[in-house]
Amino acid sequence: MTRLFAAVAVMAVLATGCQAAANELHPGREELKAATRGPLGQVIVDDEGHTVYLFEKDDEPDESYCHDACASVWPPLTTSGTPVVEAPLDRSKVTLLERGGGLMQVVYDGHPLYYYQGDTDPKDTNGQEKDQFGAEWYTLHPSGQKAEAESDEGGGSDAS
Amino acid sequence: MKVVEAMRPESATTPSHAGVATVARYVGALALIVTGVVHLQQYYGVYYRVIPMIGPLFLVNFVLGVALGVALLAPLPHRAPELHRVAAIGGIVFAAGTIIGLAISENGTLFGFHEHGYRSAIVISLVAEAVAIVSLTAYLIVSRPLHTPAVAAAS
Repeated sequence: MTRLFAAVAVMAVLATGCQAAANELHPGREELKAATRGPLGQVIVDDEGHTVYLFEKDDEPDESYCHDACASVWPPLTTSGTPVVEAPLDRSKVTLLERGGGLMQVVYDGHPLYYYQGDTDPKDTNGQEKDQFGAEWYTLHPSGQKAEAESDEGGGSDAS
Repeated sequence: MKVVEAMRPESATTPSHAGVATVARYVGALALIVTGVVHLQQYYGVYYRVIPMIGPLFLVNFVLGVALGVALLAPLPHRAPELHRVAAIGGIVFAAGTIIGLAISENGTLFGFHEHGYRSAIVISLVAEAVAIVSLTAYLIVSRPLHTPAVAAAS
């Protein structure tokens, strides 16, 4: 019994001390901007510089096809209000998609946006061109088009 | 006449108790292995390997689950008569810890990770962990060393 309590205490301490990437539970008012990511050029990132992605399976702006395990690996970018948008992004291209539990996911130019758990550094683009959960994932240019590296050396760096 | 306390080892329990203990131990062992295998499947099958901390923990879960399960299934070594009981306690702590970790990640974040929903893999793992806790607890109760009074002739 003592061991169980010790395990609970350790996990509770670790859990409270390690709040990181996934923002969807307690989103603030999100901010979108552009940043240069090597051969991908300018791509959309959040206010902390974390790269965001589109999911090619999401073919409509009012529906996300990423749930359960997919949403655990690719946390949706959620916001508590209309996101602040910096140039050269187009504010008129931003809409919101309601997910369960009252969470609002940010949609840009018809693409629901997601983080990638494999990005540990804000400048990472490890999710680029990953083929996971039934379709490929891409970063986005400020125009809303998916970003693709001009050479094969660009994009993701970890193995999927 | 002199009354002394004698330890009653697992092998000396009644046949029915020994049978229940063996079944409970095997069921608990298999449940622990199932838990580990489900975590390995999530590690490779749905890309949990990319998640910082959580990915490696899923791999550790697989290793621990299988190791504890094999320890419980293995024949009892003569030099370590308490091995099964130690493994059973470890299995209960392991299963409970896994459930607690899931509960934290479902209701908040664990190492920054939030788990979404209760898909079939999670349900299977939860059932296996519950079965492991119940069966291994039963094993510990049934196979516990009993201090029974024994009558020995005093010299």
